[in-house]
Amino acid sequence: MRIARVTAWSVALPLSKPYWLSGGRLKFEELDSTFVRVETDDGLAGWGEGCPWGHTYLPAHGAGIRAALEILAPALLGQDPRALDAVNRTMDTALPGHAYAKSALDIACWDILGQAAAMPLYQLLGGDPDPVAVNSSISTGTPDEMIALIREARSKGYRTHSAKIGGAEATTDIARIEAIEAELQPGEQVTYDINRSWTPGIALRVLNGVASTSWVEQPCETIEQCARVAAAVRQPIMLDECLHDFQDHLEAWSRSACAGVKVKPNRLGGLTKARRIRDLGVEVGWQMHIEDTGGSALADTAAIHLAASTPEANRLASWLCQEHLSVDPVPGQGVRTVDGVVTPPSGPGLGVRPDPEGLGRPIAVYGG
Amino acid sequence: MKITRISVFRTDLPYVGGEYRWGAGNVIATARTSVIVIETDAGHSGCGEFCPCGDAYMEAHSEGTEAAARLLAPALLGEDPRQVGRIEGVMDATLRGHGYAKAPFDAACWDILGKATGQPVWMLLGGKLTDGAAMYRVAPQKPPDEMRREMQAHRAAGYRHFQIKVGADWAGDIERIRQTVPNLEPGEMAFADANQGWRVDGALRVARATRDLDYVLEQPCRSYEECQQVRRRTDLPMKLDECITDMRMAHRVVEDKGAEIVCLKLAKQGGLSKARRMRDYLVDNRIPVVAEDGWGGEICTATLAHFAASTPPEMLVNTTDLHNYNTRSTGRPGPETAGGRLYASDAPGLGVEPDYESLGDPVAVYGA
Repeated sequence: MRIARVTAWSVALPLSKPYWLSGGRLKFEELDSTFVRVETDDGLAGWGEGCPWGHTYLPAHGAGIRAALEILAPALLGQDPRALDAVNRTMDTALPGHAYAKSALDIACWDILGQAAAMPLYQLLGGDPDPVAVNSSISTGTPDEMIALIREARSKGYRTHSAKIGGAEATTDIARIEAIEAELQPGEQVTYDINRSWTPGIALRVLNGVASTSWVEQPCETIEQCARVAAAVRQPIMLDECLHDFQDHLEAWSRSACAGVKVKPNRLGGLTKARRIRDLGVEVGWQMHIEDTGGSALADTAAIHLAASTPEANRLASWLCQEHLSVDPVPGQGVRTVDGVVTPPSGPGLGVRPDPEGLGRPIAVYGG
Repeated sequence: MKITRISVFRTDLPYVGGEYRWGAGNVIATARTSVIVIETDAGHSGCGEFCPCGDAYMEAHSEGTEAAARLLAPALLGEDPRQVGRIEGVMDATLRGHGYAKAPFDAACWDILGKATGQPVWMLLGGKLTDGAAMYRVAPQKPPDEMRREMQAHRAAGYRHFQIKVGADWAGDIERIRQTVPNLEPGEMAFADANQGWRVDGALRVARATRDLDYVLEQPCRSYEECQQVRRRTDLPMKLDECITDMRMAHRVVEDKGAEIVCLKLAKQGGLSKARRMRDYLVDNRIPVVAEDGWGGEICTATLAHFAASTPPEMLVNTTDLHNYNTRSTGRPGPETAGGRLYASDAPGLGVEPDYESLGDPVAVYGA
């Protein structure tokens, strides 16, 4: 089986309302997604989506994915898409770094492997189809604004919340944490996501100034700074944006910088590399949020296959980007939240097949 | 003063010697360079250049520059280019990472700052501490006899530092080093650059088989950790390059005493502004540096010449005249080279103007 053609579409995904990241320093209104279809010489077609969260959150941007496809797609033509490690070696040799630009191609090849093997991805990734809890994402604001968003999320069935806080003023964040903790109901939990916006000094003041022992995510910019914070606070620390490759995860582990990590295929380079990190996390006892950086139900579904195949003890809830979008390029397909949980599709492969007619004209076609 | 227009040019730079080979099977015949020209409402304009040494060498590729320009250029229109620190902040807030793509914008703003103040860039970087920076010359991978002949020609032209490209098969590399290094004359220096091409065991065998020779071992293996593993077992001085990507890595070198020499490449570090901070930090901590870039024409080398000129001579190992490796130009005049030394221009700014005849029409224009 050989890759005969790669087709790419640029898909704009407007958010249903503007989203402010922690610290209120970054605003997001529309995501720039790239859909990729990989076709084989024997008629199979696999799909993947690469969608960074804007271009200021991680070192990743939509045009960068499409620029990298100019190198990656021709390099993959003629390769067997089922040989995932070989596919990744080819991509890493042709273009060092730029992991985010490789994710959609890797996921599309996983889709083909699943179809060829007549197995759903969660099974190929080693697991049973456990339902996965979905968490809300609470945009930053005043305590009252954030509590209103939590109540709205609760009414939709969410029991786990990711509250974006952080900034230069310790007392503001202490007030937010105390108000949110008082609002939580039995069975509910919250992760405070700082998105790198604290200096270590602010982190120590806030975290040692509150009674909460809820998870705290990516308090500062670097692994070293987060390790210093983790050693001096009661709350378990989760890391996200400072982890790019396997080496970073090893470093985070050896420095005792965290008790859990976010595993995002688009940040790491696809399911092949995300799975390696997930497996490391299981071995060292991390708890993980497994989700993607952004995208439609196509990207969500790939990440949920990985989440569902992960032992329950090692995972926390997953976030679904689709719930922030005002459009749905794959209506009715893939994972959809029911009563606060999602279950991955049980058919062969990824289980999402976008209608090319609905995606508009491809921006690039590689191969015959 | 405000930026009114930004133009992106692209041209191919063929290597003077046909094929340039290095590291683990890397080869290029032509490098694709990008030149950025920034114009202002005050009549001043500036230029900058980024050129990867092929797309597969580092985390940098040509298409990536143009993709990043789509975000960076609109964000810079209306900004004051003389405020180079502010410009750096705007670029980092617009797009995370992708430092290589920001380097030519950064250089173009330094060029304008120089012209606006009537000063050469070396003056703005602290002064001409090195008047004529020693250059090294690469002897590309060729049969040993040919390589020796090439060294003799370079010596006649004034070069005293020689880089031997190794990193393919370690056994052949031992021969290559043994046949080249003994030909050095008193006062000359040799660098055996594996460009990350060896495994640790191969590097150790090379080091052991050549321990009677005096040369510098350069970036033997891929990661910093592997290089340290080699370093613990050899007494050859070590120069690190590809794995020293940012200030965090410079800090590790200082903390670990992880290298005798660090190679700073302007684009790899994210442009002149960031490379300059790394250089100052390394120099303050008594780690000597090499001032260079991945590849490039006259504009690239002019920027490099100012960077080298403003480095204290006792802490500057050498630099490169990249523009003399190409048969096409990106700007005029190229920085002067004589007697194996590279001289920075005394004209205001970078002292080089784009060679529009060679660059052709812009591939993208932003602004009025």
